[in-house]
Amino acid sequence: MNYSNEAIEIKMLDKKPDDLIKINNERNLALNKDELIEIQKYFSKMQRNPTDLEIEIFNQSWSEHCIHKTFRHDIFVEDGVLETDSIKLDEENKISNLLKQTIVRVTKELNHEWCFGVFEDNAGMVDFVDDYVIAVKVETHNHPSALEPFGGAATGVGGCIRDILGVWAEPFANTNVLCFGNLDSSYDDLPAGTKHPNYLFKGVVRGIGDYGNKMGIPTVNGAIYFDKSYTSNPLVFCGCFGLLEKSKYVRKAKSGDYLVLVGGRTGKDGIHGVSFASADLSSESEEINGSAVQIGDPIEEEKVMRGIMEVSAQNLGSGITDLGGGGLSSAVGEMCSNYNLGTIVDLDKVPLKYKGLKPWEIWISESQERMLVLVPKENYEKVKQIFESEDVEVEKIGEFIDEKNLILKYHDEEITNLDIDFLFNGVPKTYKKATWEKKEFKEPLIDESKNYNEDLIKILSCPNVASKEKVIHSYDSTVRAGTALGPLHGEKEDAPGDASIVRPLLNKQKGAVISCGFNPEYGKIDPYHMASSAIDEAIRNNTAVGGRRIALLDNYSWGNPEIPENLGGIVRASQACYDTAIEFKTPFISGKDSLYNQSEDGPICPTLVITAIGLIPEIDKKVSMNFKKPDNNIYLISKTYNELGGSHFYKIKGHLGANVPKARPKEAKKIFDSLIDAMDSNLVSSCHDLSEGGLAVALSEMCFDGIGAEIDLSKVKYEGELKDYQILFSESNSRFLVEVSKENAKSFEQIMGEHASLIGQTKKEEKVIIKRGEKEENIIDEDIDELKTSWQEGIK
Amino acid sequence: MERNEIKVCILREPGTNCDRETNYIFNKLGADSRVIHLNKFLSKEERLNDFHILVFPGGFSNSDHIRSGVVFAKKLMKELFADVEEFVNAKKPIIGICNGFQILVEAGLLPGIDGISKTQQAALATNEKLTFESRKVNLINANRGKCIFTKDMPFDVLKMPIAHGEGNFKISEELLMKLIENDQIAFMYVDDKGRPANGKYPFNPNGSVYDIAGICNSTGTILGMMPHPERASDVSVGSTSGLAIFENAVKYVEKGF
Repeated sequence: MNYSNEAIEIKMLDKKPDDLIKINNERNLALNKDELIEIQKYFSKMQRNPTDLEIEIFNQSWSEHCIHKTFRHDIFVEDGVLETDSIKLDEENKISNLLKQTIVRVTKELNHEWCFGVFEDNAGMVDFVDDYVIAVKVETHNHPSALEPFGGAATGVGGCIRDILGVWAEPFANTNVLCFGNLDSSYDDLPAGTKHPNYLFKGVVRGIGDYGNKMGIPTVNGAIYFDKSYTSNPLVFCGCFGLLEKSKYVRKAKSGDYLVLVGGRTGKDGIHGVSFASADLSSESEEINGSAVQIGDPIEEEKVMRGIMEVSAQNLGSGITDLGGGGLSSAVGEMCSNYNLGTIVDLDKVPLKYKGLKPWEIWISESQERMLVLVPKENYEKVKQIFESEDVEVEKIGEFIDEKNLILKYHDEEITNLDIDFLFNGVPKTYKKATWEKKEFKEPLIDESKNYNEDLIKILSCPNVASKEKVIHSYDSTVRAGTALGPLHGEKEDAPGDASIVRPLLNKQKGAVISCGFNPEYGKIDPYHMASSAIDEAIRNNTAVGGRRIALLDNYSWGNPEIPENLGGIVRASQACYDTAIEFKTPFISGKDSLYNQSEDGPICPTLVITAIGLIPEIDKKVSMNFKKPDNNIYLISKTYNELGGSHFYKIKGHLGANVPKARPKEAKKIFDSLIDAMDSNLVSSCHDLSEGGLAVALSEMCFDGIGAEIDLSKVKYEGELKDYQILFSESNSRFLVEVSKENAKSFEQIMGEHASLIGQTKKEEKVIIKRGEKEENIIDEDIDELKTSWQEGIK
Repeated sequence: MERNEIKVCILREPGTNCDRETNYIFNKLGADSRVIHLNKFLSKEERLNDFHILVFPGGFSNSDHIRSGVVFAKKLMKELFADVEEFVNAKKPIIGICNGFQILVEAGLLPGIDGISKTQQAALATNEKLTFESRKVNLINANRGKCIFTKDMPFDVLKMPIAHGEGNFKISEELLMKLIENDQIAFMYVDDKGRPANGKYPFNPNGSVYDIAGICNSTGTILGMMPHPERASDVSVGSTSGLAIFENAVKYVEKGF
C-alpha cells in the first residue's frame, strides 16, 4: 500500500488480461476485462503507464452509473422478449440503443414545442408560464441508504436538488418514493449484513425530512411500498422541481473561462460511490464500501443555492453543473465534453476538509454540497464576492483550454493528461443478452362470500395501502407558501390525495401538478404491464386533481442486468413505456436507471417509478378527493375488467394471480381529456383515482373526511361476467370515482358520455354501503370510523 | 407615513428559509420590503434603524445547532444590541415567525415583560411527540387589545400551517400568570370546533403550556408565533387567516406611533 500522498504509476503496459483484472480488484474498481484492455491499448499508444489517478478517472467515467451502458449499448434480444412490434430489431436480433428506441423516441416523435430541454442536461425542462420553465429531476440513492439510511436518503435529496441548481433553476418542490422490506420481518430471516426494514424505513424518512425541511423546499408528493424483495435492497427515489427563466439558462463556456468550485470542502466521504452503485450488494458491502456513503449538510447547500441564484440574477456565469456521482472527475469531464474544450486543473486548489487525501481521492470524492460554476475571467471577482457574502467557500481550480485534453496538476507536477474524446467515446461496447420466458401464472379460485367488510378492512390496513400520514406530517409541505393542494386532503388533512399542486410564482394562478405512479406487485407477473400501468397511474393521478399537458420521468430500479432474464424485463418495460406514452402523447423529459439492485437473496422485484409533471391553468379550479356534500351523485369513470393479478385483494388471500391490469391508453387518453373538460366547467366536486384495492378502497378513502356513500355494483360498467369481489377489488387502470352535484349531473353526463356510470350517492350517514342490485344484504356495510381507524393504524 | 415609504427588513442568516414568501406579502401590501442577510448589518452596510418593521422569518438558522435560534440571537444581541434596543424602544413592530419566535425568545426580546431581558425567560422546547410536525392547526386570537398585530382580527377559528420540531412553549408558572394578566397572549391552539385544545394532540401540536401558539411583549409591538401566517395569506393556498397580522403591522406604522 502506498502511504504517500503523491500519485503513483500503475504498471499495466505489459500485463496479461488476468493481471489487469487483479489490478482492478485490488483497487476496488468496477472495470471489466474489455475495458481494461482498451485502457491498456490507449496507454501503449502513449508509451507510458497510467497514474493511479488516471485509472480512477476511467473507472468513474466508464461506470454504469455514469454512462448507462445497459440502456445505450447492444442488447441481443431472444424470441419472446418483445410484447408488440413497436421495436424493430436488426438482422442480428439486436437493439443497439434501448433508450433511443423507446423512451427518447416517444419525445422525438411527439415533438411537442413545449419541451424546452430533454435528456441532455442535469434536469428535464418544460414550458410553464410566460418565459418560465419548470426543471425536474428524479434520482435514486439506493445503495447508500441500505448502509446508512439517514445519510443515504438525506444526500439523495441533496443530490437531486443540486441537479436542479445545475440548470440554474430555483427548487420549489420535492418528491420521494421509498421501498422497503416488510416491517414485520423477523430478525432471524434477515440476510447477513442487512439492517432491519423498520430501522431503514425510520432512518430514510428522517433523512428525507431533515434535508428537505432545512433547505426550505416543500415535500409535496410521494409513495411508500413494502415488499420482501426490498429487504436487503431498499429503494430511495428523490425528485426535485425547480423554476427558471429561459434567458437564465446559460450554457456558453469558452476557452479561458474559470472552473470555480463552490460549497462544501472535499474529504474522503463518497469514494467509489459510482462503482458501488454499479455492483450488487453483499454482506461485505459495509466494510468495503463504507466510505462510499456521503455526509449531508443542508444548510451548506442552502447557502450555495442563494449564491447561485444571485450569480444567475446578475448573469455572471457561463455554465454550471453539480458535483454528484464521480465528484470532480465526472463534473469537470462532462463540462469539457459538453463544451468541446479541454482543461488544466490544479488539485492543490481544491479546499480539503483535512490533510491526507491522495490526489485520486480528491478527484473522485463525492463530498456533498459542491457545485462547479463556470465563470468568464472578468466576472470572477464579483462571483467570489457573492458566494463569500453567503459564507460560502469559493475557489477557482482551473481553466478551460482549446486543446481537448484533461490535464491535472498536483504539487506542480502533471499527473494526468488524457484525451477527452477517448475518455467519453472510447468505452468498448457491452453486449448483453435479454431473454423472457413466459411464466405460467394461475388465477386462484376464491370462495364468494356475502359480505366483504373484513376483506376491505384487511386491505385498508395493508402497509402499502394504509395511511402514510405520520410520515407526511414529518415533512414540511407548505414552506414557500405555494402549496395549493398538499399530499393530504380534507378538513382534517388526513385523506390521501392523488397529486399535489404547487404554485412556484406566488403572483400567478398557474400551478404545477406533481404525481407519480408505480406498482411493483404487477412487475412480479409482467414488467410490460407493470410499466404501462405505472404510466397510466401517474397520468390519472395528475388528471384527478386537474392536471394536463403532462410530461413524464422514468426511473428504473432493477436487478443485475447481466442476468438475461432481468434484462428481458427491462426491455419489456421500456417497450411498454414507448407503447403507452406515445398514445397518451406524454413525452419523457428525463430519467435514470439504477441497476444491480441485487443481493445474495436475489434481485428486487422490477420497479419502474413514473413521475408526472402537469399544469393547471387556474389553481382555484383544483379538485380534491374527499366527498364534499351528502346527496351528490357518484360516478365511476371507465370500464372494470377481471384484472386482479397482483392486486391487494389477492395479496391478502395469499395469491399473486395472472390477470395483471392492462393499460388501454388510446381510450384512456380520450376519457382523461373529457374529465378535464368537466373539471374546467366546474362540474366536479371531488375526484379520486382507483388503484391498490380498487373500487372499494377508493370509495372508502373518499369518505374519510366524514361524508358517507352508498353505491350499487349492478350499475358498474364491466367486461364479461364479474363476481362481487372482482368488481369491488379489481385494479383495472384508467378509472376514477367522481362526485357531481345533482344540478351539474346532466352537463357532466353529456361531457363524459358512455364512460361515466352513475353508481350511487353520497350520504349524510357516516357509513360506506355497497350493494348489488336486488340482493337483500349489503356486500359492504361499515362505519367510516371503523374503516378509517384500520387504515390509519396499518403502519405501526 | 405613506405606505410605500414603510421599510420592512426581512432578516436572514444561513438556513433561514421563509423569507421569500414573507417578503412577498409585505410588498403586496404596498410596503417597501427587502430580504437582508445579517452580514450586511454586521458590516454596517445597512442600519437597522433605517427600517420601520423588522421580521425574523422561519427556517433553520444555522441548522438549529445548539438550540433553535440561539446562534442567530446571540450574534444579533452581541453585535447589534444598541440598534435593537433603539428599535424596540421606538416601539417599531417586530415579528418572529417559527424560527423567528425562537430567536426572539433566545434574544430576550420575548416575553419582554419588563423590556429586553438579559437572561432567557421562556423556551421553545422539543415537541412533546419528539417529531417534526407539519400540519394545519386551528387558532384563536386570544388578545384583548394590547397586541398591535391582532387588532380587529376576528375571534373565529383561524387556520394556519405549522412546521417545526421545537415549538413547545415553556415558561414558569409565575411568568405565565403575568403574561395572562398583562394581555400578552396573542394566539392559542383550539380544536376544530374552536374549543380550547387543553393540551390535546394534534390540536395542540407540540405540548405548549396553556395552548400558547404566540405571545407579544408588554408594549404589544413584538410578536412571536409558531404558526406561519405567511402561508395563510392567500385564499388560493387554503386560508387568509394570517394576512391581517401583516396588514396590522403596516397600518400601525402608517398611522404613526
